[in-house]
Amino acid sequence: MKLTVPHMGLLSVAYTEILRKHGVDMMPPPRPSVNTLNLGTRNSPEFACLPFKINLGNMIESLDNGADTILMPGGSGPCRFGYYGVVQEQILKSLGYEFNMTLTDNPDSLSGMVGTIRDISDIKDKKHAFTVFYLILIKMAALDKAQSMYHWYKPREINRNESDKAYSGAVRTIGKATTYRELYRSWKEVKKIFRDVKADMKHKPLKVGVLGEIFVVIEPFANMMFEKKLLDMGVEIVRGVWLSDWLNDRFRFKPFRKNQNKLAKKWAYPYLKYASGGESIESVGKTVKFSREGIDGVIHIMPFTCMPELVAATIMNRISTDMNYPVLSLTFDENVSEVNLQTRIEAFVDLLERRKKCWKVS
Amino acid sequence: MLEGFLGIDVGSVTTKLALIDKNDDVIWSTYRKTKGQPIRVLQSALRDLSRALNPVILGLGTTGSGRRLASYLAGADIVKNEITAHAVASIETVPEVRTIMEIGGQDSKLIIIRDGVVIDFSMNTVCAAGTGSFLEHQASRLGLSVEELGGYAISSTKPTRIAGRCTVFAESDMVHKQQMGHEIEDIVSGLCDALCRNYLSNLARGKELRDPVIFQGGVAANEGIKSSFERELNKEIIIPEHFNIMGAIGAAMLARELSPKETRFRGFSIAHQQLTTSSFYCNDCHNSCGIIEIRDGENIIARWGDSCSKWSAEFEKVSN
Amino acid sequence: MKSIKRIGIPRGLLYHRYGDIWKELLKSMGFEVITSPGTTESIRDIGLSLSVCDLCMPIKVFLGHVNVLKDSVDAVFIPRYISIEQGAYMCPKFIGLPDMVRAAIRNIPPVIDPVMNLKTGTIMDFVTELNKKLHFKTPDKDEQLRILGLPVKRDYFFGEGKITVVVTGRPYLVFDNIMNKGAIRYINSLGVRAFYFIPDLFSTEKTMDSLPKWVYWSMGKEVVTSVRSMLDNHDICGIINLVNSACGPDSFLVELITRSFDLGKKPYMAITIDEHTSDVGLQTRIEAFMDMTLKRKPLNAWGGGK
Repeated sequence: MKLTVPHMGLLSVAYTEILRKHGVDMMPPPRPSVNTLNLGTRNSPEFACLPFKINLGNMIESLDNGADTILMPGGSGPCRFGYYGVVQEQILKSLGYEFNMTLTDNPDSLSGMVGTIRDISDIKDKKHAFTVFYLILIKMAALDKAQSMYHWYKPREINRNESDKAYSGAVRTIGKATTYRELYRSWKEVKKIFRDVKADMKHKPLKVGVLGEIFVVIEPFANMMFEKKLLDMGVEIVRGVWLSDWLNDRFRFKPFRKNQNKLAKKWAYPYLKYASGGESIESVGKTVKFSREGIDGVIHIMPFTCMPELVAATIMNRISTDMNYPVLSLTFDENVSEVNLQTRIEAFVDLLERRKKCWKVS
Repeated sequence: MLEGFLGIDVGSVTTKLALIDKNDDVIWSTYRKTKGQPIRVLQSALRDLSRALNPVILGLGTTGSGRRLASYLAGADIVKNEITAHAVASIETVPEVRTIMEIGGQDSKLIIIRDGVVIDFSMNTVCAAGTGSFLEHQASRLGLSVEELGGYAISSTKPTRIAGRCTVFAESDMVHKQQMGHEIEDIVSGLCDALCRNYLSNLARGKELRDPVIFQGGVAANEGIKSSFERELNKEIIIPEHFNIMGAIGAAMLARELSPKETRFRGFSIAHQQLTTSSFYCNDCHNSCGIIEIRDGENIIARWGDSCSKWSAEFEKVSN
Repeated sequence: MKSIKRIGIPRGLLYHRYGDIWKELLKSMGFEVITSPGTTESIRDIGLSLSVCDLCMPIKVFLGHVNVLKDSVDAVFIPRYISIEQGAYMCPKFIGLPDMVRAAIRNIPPVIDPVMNLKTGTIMDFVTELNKKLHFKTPDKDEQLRILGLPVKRDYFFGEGKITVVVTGRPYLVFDNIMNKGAIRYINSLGVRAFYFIPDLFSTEKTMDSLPKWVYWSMGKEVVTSVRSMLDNHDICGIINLVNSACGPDSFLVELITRSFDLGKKPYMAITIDEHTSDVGLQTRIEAFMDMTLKRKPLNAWGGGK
């Protein structure tokens, strides 16, 4: 059995080595690229959202490379994500591929995930599967932490591209860890790597909050590496959406970190009273939060025709005018032109800079 | 010796150059079609400038969708996006401005300003139905030039309603209206209304357009569009004197604001070099970046487009 | 707070399914109920100008309806339908609808948005919340529950004709002539009768079981089941599925329908409609579809058994 899971940001780094050690023949798809998107777009329904297309492209690439089993998380609504696997399986079958599709229909439940691990690996003991699953979660959290350190260091670095190297080194180091002990050691090393980056500690860069649909936020290919563009302009990124937070809200592996979803609900209540799927509540809630925390502006990103985020976008539009707080909404699909994107991001950063200078808003 | 700051705006359809003095007055300007050859056009424009005035350039600013190209080619002191450049120029021209509408060849922008600061903006994303290309395309369908459209539009009394937001659908609807026997003036006027509606519904959604409103960009030359906007918004619309080169003026002003001690401008000699561009895909990682090179004969003078700065590192001189 | 006497109901989205029930419910509580007029082009255009670009048309038009009502009523009734049955949701945009309306429209009277969530709650919760939000002190809860439990009309025929096509789609698209660009009227003008129906529970379950995974959108379930159950029906000659172009669930379900069912049995066509669709293009497609179905008549012998 050659198992493949479509990419979602750094998630594959978290599980690949660990599952390999436990006897799973992992076959990660290539990182999403233009080729992935082309394959996905060609075979998807016209109005499917961008994550669907990238996932599908990834699956086709892996199947071409010889994978025979696809693991795809599911769920049941109201967002379209829960139905991804079903439609993708039908599309791939009609393209003539032969494979097994394992749908984990309940990605929110611990027993479901532990069961999945027992199904695919040689671990038969429930308790063992449980510890392995938590190791994956904690590794994911470490990766996210490394990325947020990168977001902090990049605009403050003195030698150009030093923090980029530190970040990719950190991801590599964490990626190798397969036990709790190794993970702990690698984390110490990562801290050292970042400590060595020469940074201007007194520099106060512009801070931009990034919110939106989780897949496009955490997968750099899906958002056309717009975070890198921002960082290169010397802007500090404060992300409101992390995969580890999403997982933590469900599995509580970091007991001292507050449930971000509940927190966001509290902030969002005056504007959005019920979570309408996806990250809508986080987007709205954290916009309110960021505006009070001295973050200069928010960029809200979503795939084209994303249902939950459109609800959020409508409401954030209002928050933006009510609070006089800059919000830039960006939608991503295969038709977005890079030049246009670059111009809008640059203009937004200029707007924030001039605003800060002229109005002395903190 | 004449001294000044130069602004270059390389747009998708046209290339604009403006030379301003220290008091922000425009000394010299040009507006020409890019015709898909930005380097040639830029070179010939620079040649004309040096021949006409041979000024000393104290600073150079570039803007427009080809701002990187122009900056690598001519050596810019500041590279700015066209939204900021337009805003800067307009605020200088009409200090109390609160709304800027800009319609260019393939981009259209709406910039909202309060107290001399940009607070919001929007830009068309994928659709070209609210831009100059739309107008030019439809004009050629009717066998008219873009310049003639304005005159036709204002002589109409009862504009035809052209449906469809998309360029292609608008065309089929226009053909349909022609077949029904509508006057050409009314169709042209309807076209202007359609462009206006498209622009407003694409960009002005949920935004408050307050007086004074400035309208600029190449399309502002068209009287018909102006009167359509005035009808639709029920507001007076100001068209600045240099409406079609505002981006270049803004870029020049930004260069003047910066007033570098020593400009990075490579001098007018570049106008006579044999420049060629080429591109290739770097396949060293999964990103497959497209790398673009400019050569002068055998020498590579600029290279950009990579995300890891492996190729461009030695040419990186200009930052934002 | 001003006491509420006149309540407005926007004529859009779920009004086309539950409107009569809502009206009766509010009237039984002694309120004066005003509904917005049927969709007009101007309502549509106002709605379009109020909303974020990428929203789907029905939501945009709904905003237009609210805008028409807002000055003449004391409150607007927009219930928040999260789920109307176990194991299924409404579209996410319905869940956030009252909040979206509040955000998009300025100077709006209070929005009465009781939650209908049968996934975790009951209809009683809906009634309690409604009474609380309207400051209604003397409710006859039995009567309210009876009204909410009234059946909705399940079969509709449009026009007259010997031949019948089934029209499926969301009720707010089927019953709104501006929204569907007069598609149904045009079908009628060709001398064809259109039939729209809400499938019963039994055939829904049967259809869902035949799929790899149950569809978890209530309205989507209806569409899929309508198509599936009509494939074997010999009294109809074809199926036209009206789809809104930016509709999230339908973008998948249309794919699911074409891939899961044997559509060779009946002529089937999905028509995608949005505010940019041109009337002429739509009419051409319908006409071509009808020509195709009529040609198949002798081969398939619909209308008279096999």
